[in-house]
Amino acid sequence: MTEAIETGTAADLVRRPGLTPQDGLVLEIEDLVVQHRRERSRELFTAVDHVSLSIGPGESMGVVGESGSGKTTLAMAATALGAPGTGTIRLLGRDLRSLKRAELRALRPEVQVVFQDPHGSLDPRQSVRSGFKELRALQPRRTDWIDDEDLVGRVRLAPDLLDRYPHQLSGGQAQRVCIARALMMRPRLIVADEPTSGLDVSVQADVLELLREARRTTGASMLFISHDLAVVRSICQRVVVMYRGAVVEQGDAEQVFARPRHDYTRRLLAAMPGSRWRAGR
Amino acid sequence: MARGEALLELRSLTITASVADRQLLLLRDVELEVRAGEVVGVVGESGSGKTTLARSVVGLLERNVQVATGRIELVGEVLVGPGTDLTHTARGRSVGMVFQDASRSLNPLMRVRRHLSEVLERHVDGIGRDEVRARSTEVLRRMRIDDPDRVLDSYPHQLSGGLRQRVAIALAVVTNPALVIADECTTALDVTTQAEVVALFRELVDELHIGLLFVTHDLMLASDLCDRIAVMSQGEVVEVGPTDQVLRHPTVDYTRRLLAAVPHWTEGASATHA
Ligand SMILES: Nc1ncnc2c1ncn2[C@@H]1O[C@H](COP(=O)(O)OP(=O)(O)OP(=O)(O)O)[C@@H](O)[C@H]1O
Ligand SMILES: Nc1ncnc2c1ncn2[C@@H]1O[C@H](COP(=O)(O)OP(=O)(O)OP(=O)(O)O)[C@@H](O)[C@H]1O
Ligand SMILES: [Mg+2]
Ligand SMILES: [Mg+2]
Repeated sequence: MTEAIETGTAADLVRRPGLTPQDGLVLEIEDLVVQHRRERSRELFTAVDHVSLSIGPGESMGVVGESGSGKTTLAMAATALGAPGTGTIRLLGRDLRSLKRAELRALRPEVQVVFQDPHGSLDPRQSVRSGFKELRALQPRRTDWIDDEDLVGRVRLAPDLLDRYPHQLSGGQAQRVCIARALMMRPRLIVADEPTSGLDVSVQADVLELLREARRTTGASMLFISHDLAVVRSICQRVVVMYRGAVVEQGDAEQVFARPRHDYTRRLLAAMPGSRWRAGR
Repeated sequence: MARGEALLELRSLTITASVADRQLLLLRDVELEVRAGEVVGVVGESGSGKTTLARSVVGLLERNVQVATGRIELVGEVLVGPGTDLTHTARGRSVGMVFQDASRSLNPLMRVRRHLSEVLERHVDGIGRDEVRARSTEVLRRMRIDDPDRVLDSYPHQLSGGLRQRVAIALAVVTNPALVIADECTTALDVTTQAEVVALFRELVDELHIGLLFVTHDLMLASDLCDRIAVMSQGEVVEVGPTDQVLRHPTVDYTRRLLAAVPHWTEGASATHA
């Protein structure tokens, strides 16, 4: 394991005004190791290699890194949806490993996950509208729901999509339905895995604004996985760079991108598409 | 295939969908062609009809979607037109397709190795086991997968999103088809891997003179790869021309708006100076 380059530490973060002390962290991961067993050879493969990070209330943390570097595995472990691994994970102050099934279920609405594959994460037998209805039933006592039309409008979808089934939506439309589903629950933590990868720039801008607004108005925190550095830079205060399972650099997003210190971060920046167009702009 | 020869022609293609008791217009009078040795980009906002266009060529439209009028010709053969069966399958040797959701290209119950051997055996007459093995490994290496054996032995759910996407691309190109249609095929890739996949496509186009219909919502990516660009809006092709012309001198308002929305990557963090 190599030491990650740190630009500003988690300790700095909790000392920042407006943030509650250590025990108020929304997500705290210490020394997480997650291994997958390989088919055939049965060897263990380390997908997440001694990762530590923390996210404070209202803070958004970006995760960037090459394909297969362990971003999704990390997010799934952090939300108790995937392989648990070893190390400590505290979600909303609770140690995930000591939680009983029922306690975990009670925590679910507070942590919403937007998965990498939007079509795969929507129930194919359910229209958009009945999917919303089912989510509302999870919190029967809540009365301040926004209505369906308003909800889809916020992700820039037309109301007539409400009665469609997932396979009748375009890729970007399905992605926005997933985002609407996550936001309607008013979670304290949103884990979003490439949530805007299928969206063109104009819709993407609106969706990012919506996520920012959710942070402002409800104080939600975010773990935002994306390979799009410009997007991460525009929405995340802090960023971790993963390479082969390990965090190789982390810190203030502006600083990491302006003055990348790890070689891999530099390579990521150099490979951004559009150099031909930007050059002549 | 000689460079410049017409591979794919779409002529006044109109496609509709029935939802409840309504007819929706998904594509309207689309005209487009792809020639051997060129990359045609299809860009446009979410819901503008890009996937519908791509799928119509391989005959894999949803059940409630129909070709209303128009023609699709592939290497001179009429796939869709008056009197043709609309459930054609122009897949395999002549067209390789990469779907927007990799789960559509991959069967969850099959290892990657079997996916590749099935397409190779179906489309390459008399191919032997050793050659299947060699070509499978080689195509994954070309996708910049450095441990092809592990990936070959994996089921799709055991792969990361980007690995699944590269396997889907490998399946589409492994038989050297004349035309490749790629629908948002790099959305799960980090920029370095994306750059290499794009370079690989360019190589296939320049060396083997395949035609590539490259669907993307990413204008910058299209600007790096495509020879020509078609801009779609609300089911219509509103602008088509050489890449530089479309991006530098857009003639329709819609293209200008798309370009204006590209996020700025301001100085100090300029990628090229990093
Ligand atoms: N089976 C269907 N039934 C009804 N409408 C459909 C169906 N499939 C697609 N549509 C609609 O047709 C329009 C075009 O969809 P398409 O998937 O072609 O868009 P796209 O340009 O690929 O968008 P994206 O960038 O989001 O993937 C969308 O408004 C979509 O909701
Ligand atoms: N269930 C599993 N069994 C075995 N290996 C797995 C499993 N899930 C993931 N892996 C492997 O672990 C590594 C990390 O995967 P992960 O999905 O976390 O990567 P990622 O950073 O999200 O990549 P991408 O950007 O491509 O989505 C990959 O090599 C992947 O193939
Ligand atoms: Mg992933
Ligand atoms: Mg699409």
